[in-house]
Amino acid sequence: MLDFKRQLSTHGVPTPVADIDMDLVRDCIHCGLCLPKCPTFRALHHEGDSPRGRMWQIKEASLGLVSFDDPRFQTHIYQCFNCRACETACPSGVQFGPVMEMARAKTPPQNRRDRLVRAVLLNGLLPHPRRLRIAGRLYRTARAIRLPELLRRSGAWKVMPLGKFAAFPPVGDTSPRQTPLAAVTPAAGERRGRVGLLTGCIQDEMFHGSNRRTVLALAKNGYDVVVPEERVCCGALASHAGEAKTAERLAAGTLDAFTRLNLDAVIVNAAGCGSNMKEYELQLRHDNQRREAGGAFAGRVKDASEFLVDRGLRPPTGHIRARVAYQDPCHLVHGQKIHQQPRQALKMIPGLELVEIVESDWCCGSAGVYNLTHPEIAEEALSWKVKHIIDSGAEIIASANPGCILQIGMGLQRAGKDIPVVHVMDLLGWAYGDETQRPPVVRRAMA
Amino acid sequence: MGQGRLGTAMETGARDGLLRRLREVVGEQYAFADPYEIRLYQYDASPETALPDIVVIPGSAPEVADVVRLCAQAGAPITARSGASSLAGGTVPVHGGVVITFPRMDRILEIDVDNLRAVVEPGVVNLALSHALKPYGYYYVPDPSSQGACTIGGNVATNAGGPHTLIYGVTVNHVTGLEVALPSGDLVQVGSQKAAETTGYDLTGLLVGSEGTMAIVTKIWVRIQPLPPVQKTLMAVYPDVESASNAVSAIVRTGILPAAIEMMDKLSIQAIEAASHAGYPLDAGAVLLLEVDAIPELAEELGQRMAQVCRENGATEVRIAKNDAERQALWKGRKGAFSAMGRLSPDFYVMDGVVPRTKLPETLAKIDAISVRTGYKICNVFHAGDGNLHPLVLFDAFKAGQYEAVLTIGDEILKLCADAGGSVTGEHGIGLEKRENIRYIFSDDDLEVMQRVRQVFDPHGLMNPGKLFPTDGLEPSPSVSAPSPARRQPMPAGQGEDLWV
Repeated sequence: MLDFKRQLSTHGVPTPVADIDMDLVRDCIHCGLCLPKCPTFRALHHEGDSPRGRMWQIKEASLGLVSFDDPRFQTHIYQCFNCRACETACPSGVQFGPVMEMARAKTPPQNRRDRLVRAVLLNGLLPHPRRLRIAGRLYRTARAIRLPELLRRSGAWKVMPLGKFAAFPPVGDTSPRQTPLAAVTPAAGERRGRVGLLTGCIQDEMFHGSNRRTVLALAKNGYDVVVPEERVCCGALASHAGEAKTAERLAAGTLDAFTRLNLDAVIVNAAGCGSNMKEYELQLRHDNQRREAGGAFAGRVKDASEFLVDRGLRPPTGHIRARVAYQDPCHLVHGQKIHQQPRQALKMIPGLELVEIVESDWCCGSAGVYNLTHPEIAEEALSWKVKHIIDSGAEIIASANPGCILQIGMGLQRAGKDIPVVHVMDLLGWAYGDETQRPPVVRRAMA
Repeated sequence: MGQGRLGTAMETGARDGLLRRLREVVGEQYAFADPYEIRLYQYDASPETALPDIVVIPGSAPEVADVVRLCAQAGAPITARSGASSLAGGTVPVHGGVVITFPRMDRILEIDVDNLRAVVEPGVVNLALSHALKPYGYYYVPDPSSQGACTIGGNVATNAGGPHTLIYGVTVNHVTGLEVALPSGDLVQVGSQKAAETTGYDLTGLLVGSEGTMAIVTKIWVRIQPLPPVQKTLMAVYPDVESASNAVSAIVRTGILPAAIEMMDKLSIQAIEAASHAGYPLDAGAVLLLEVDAIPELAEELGQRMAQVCRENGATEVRIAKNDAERQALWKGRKGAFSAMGRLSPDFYVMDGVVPRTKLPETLAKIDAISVRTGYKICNVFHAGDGNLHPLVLFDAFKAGQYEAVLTIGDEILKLCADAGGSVTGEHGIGLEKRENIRYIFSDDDLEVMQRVRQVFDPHGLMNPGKLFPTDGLEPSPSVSAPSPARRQPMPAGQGEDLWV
């Protein structure tokens, strides 16, 4: 067995495999600056589970020195949160996320749990609006009949699949029936433009209220808000997990649905979705009809906080007198480089005191479907997060992605802490006058 | 064995036996020889690679001592690897054997503000230490550009520097004592813990910068110091490196010694701007970054004086950072400079030459001539205040012959640094990369003395073999017999056929 350099000098440089952009891979100069920012390196201590190590493995696999299907390659590649903290740390500009997605697409995972999650969730449920609606109604019915309390009291959650998520659900909808969002919500006050809202898949079934408050915030800021008639899923979870075909199909559908509507901007309130949609040019690189449109479309995609703050947020008048900490979703801070706008939006709420959490830009372990496929490592990352939140003294946590809100909310409840985890748009919406679903802490802070 | 297993040096039977014993010490999951997994320990931040036989991830100093003893008994070479951000191949296991790595030993054991000390394990990241000290109003001074990833253990090994070592000194000036594991398996303490002075031989001074060729560091006592009350940071823009170099000399003549004087040339500025938008002007021929540490009453005046001297010496623009965010932006650009080269070229080769400050313009002109002659782009980013150059030669390792050509260029540059009265390394260490270049500074007799000192600690030449010393005739003397002949392997082609451990 030869080392890398000697292999190349002895046998020449092999032709890289197809479907991997070797220029992107070689952007990594293995300087190692990413290692201390990587949650899986911190948890597992192995170079193979560091960003540099993963780039190295992808490089060797692309050159045929190791196999993409090697179980050890799969282990390290799928053990990655894909939180992209390494991208923020990288001075060479390595696009780790896209490279990781290309590598995952080369080698579907072989272990049972991973395959199950993919079959059921990524391919079986999320892309299908009808099935998703049924699942959503079941979920909300379970909450309406107080199943979570039953699970908690009986301890059944500990042995049930997904039990911890069922027993410690987030602030969200509890009525089985939902009132759909209006196709067009007219702007309030002076009209500033016309925007679309991606309601999302999980977001709309579990956090319909957050969507409603996002619409409210946009309308209060002078925007007509359009919601596409047919529910669209942007394909983020599939893409981040390396389900390239599903991801590409969903990206095409999303692009078409919004393009028809003639909008100034497409607003997204789920960080993972926004990050994915801003990379549609890459997602649709094999789609000759849509590749260019993908680039133009990506330019119009905006995170809700990013859009509102950059355009000048109209100050809300409702007071929320509480210490609030903002938890950066990875796909917002690292994936979209949005750090300040959500904080600025929160600071404009009268009475709100913004505090910082140590390592607020570290992944909570949710990481798309990661907490389902790799629960042990996800739990470790969550334990760091819960500790830092408790130490911060925050009474409310604001974030901007359904996965993080679910995961951290579950972690805090399990730790016995009554610290609600909500969306930035929830707080903004409440401050703009929405009175629904306010958790007790918020009600008290607004009294 | 033999030519079939280049890079790794141990026989399978010996390796498996050692692996079994190592696992008893550190636990099953923290010692491995899997042919796939060891490929992840063949590299560092240099272009060099070589495969280890075994990787060990110990969790404590006693474990390290046991690991080192077992390796020594088995006659296996030992290479310490921490952040593996070495630019000189210092952590690449050229003779195979065992790589010991320290991500589990990343604890700050004590912070003693009153005695100006902190005690750390080798795997503590340089910047993490300063972050931990910040709430107390203190910091750890040496700040290599890789400080976000490099570790104190690695800093000790290479006697690392950084921009702010101009007035405060390099790692050796900030380490007061060490606990080290010797090949005998003993854990030994050298230097002083918290007292100001040490007596007898300055073994701490000897071990700092020894690049893992004598012992493995397991605990470090470092000096900490209060954060400067005010830091004034200036950026001065020059039409070319010569005028910038002259300005540096003029600044030093004023008698005000800044905490840092950094220079970047045109090509570097372009790469840095692409990477971090530090605010360096893209059309500048050279940029100087200056910083003075002072009490508030003085800072403004010193800043203005620096600015004035810069202008008098040809600066077309001088910008003083107005707040901490602007200061951070200026530094972020400089500190990310090497990695930013990834934006210009798939690979680069960085050197670490030192010249007397007065020779800067002349040396830079010669480097430029080499670039023109060979056709390889060379960027210059360096600590101008102490004449520590970091020429970066850009190349593509996938193109046949380029790496060899670049090595020749590097050799030529280091030779001209040495000829100018300088040195072949300022802070990165000799490592693998410059082991032949060390001859430009030291004679055979000099090197012989160094080698004998090394043998006191490492009689069998097992500690990071193949580093620091030239390959011919200066490795451990023949009178010393290594315990096991099995690991004596000829080096692979291209590494020098006559290299023996």
